[in-house]
Amino acid sequence: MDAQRPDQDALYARAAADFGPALGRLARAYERDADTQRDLLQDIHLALWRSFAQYRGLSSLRTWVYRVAHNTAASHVLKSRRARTAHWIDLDKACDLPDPGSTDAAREDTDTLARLLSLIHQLKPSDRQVMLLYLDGLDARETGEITGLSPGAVATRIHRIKALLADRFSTDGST
Amino acid sequence: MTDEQPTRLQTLWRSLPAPDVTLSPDEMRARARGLERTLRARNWREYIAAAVVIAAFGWYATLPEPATPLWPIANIAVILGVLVTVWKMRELAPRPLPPAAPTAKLVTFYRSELVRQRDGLRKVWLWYIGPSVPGFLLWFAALWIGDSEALRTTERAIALGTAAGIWLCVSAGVIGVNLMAAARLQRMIDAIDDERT
Repeated sequence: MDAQRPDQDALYARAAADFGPALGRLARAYERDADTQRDLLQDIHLALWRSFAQYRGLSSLRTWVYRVAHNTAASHVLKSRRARTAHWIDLDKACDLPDPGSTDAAREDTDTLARLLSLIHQLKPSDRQVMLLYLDGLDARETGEITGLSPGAVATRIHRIKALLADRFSTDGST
Repeated sequence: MTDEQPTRLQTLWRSLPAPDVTLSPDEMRARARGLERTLRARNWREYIAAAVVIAAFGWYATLPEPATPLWPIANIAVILGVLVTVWKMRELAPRPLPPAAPTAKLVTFYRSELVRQRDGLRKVWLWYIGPSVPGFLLWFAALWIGDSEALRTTERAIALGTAAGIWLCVSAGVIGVNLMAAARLQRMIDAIDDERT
């Protein structure tokens, strides 16, 4: 165990340096409350550090980090009371949601981000996961490796996500 | 990364201010040790509780009164029942989730764990209460049979009946609490199924 420590620590340090901001965004996408975001983020970092004891380099560091981080966030949501009471929606229904940000202020970047976060918070976790991976710029193959979805299912969801984002944000020139 | 240029929304998303967490490896180790200590403490509580019960009934078995061969048999039956329950509890203990499995597999694994634990809680009467039933029935019978004629009074019968009643009520309470916990797990399973459809 001790012999593995330097690798484990070094891998974690590298992951935290390379993917720290993405992990922070992930926490914001899963939790609205700032304190809960911080708790979730700490759980993600701890899960990552622990997971590196088992990392054998069979997948890329990025895929491993995203898998562990998304799994920790998904477990966090599934175990919460919210999982039994929330009314999450899928991508199709998200198109029918009223868009609160159609004022001039909505054209501001911060407002666009607020609207985007609001939309993400309403999505069911599996759609939310693909949306976040798309926004982080991961390709379909990596998204499939992280989510476990088939290439066809990933392609369909990304197509719907692009359509949804175009519908919601095209007036901002954001997509 | 995709070969395509990021869209403006993707670029904007990546500029989202996010909370930062910096934990040193030593802090990580301390937290990991804390989690392991919590798990170990839970296991030790189970073992210590079982050891206390086994020691108590082992000691009862050596007592000369009630003077019937049924008395040591009853106490040994109670001890065997406790051992079966401890073994079953270990078998039903939660299994760790695979940390880096694809999320769909993790959710499937998590659901199967919930189903396994729900079924365990629903059958608590069988593996938690059930194994101790023969021992306790023999125990009460031995107390009654082993007493001298003079002690077999109505008051004595009422006292034994009351003790048996309390044991039945506690058992019913344990079953009820576990059924409620099973219902909570079922709601979590339903939420996962809803999310998947």
